[in-house]
Amino acid sequence: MNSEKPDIPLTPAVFHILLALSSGDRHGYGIMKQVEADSMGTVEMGPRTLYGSRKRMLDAGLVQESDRRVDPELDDQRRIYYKITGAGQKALAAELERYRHLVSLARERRLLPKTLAYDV
Amino acid sequence: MSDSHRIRNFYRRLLALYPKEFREQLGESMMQTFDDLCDERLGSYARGKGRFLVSLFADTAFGIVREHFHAIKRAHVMRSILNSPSRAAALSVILALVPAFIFVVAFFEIEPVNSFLSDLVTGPDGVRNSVVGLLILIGAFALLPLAFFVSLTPIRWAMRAGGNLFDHPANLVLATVVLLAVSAILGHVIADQFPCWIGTPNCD
Repeated sequence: MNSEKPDIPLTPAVFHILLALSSGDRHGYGIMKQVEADSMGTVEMGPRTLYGSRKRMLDAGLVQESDRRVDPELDDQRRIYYKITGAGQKALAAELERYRHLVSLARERRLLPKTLAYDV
Repeated sequence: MSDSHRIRNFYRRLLALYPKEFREQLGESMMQTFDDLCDERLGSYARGKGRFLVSLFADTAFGIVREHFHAIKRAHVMRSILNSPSRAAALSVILALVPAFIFVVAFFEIEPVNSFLSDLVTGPDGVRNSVVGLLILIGAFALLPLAFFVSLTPIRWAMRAGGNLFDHPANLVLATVVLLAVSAILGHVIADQFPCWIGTPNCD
């Protein structure tokens, strides 16, 4: 995944983790909550999926540990935050482009419900 | 020690079962996430506490198995075994020992193992064949062809690299012995069952 061309399609878990990290550095629990919010509660990620995916994302260079440490008055100083890397941003962009293409294809074939067809 | 301390300690012990590399990279973060989840789910209400903990521990246990599997895949354990003729031969012997043991027990009717194996195949009523027992037995004998291929792999790789058939004589002898054993067992099964296949009455 470190190569110029990102390895897509991404798994749903990797996609949601990248999407959650695209709006800021987060710790494990923060990622879980953001994924839940982004998916409107349809994706609930357990520790197994979250950390299994994150291990492979760390190895692939899609995410990395962040230097950010929150004020110890507000949060646990030892808390580990993760951030999206350049390769992760490229992979996310490529995956979103793939989705955009699929949605336009669905629109062409009149597969989308009417309300969505006008929104997209 | 309070309940929450006990649960936390248990989870920490569970995390120790993850592969070392995984644990070192993500263990602390997992512990923090566990604490956060417990604060959220156990702090506010008591209902569903047990279900939440069981699903969390089960999820983690599955994760441990999966990460060990990934670690094995990453380490290319099988390739490194097959690259070494002596290790391939040792693995081949281990694989062949299981069916060899069953064969010896059945041939010499060594009790009580022989009765145990018979019960496994015929099932509890002693008349009808047990599908599970048969599958176990077929699976055990399927290890013989696997042993043959494991033993032969270093020879195949050597020949592909320009070597010859006799580069690894021990593997060649072992592969030949296993092949003879497979042929003998197949021959015995065919000879034994042939009358039934051609419709001879009262055969079993």
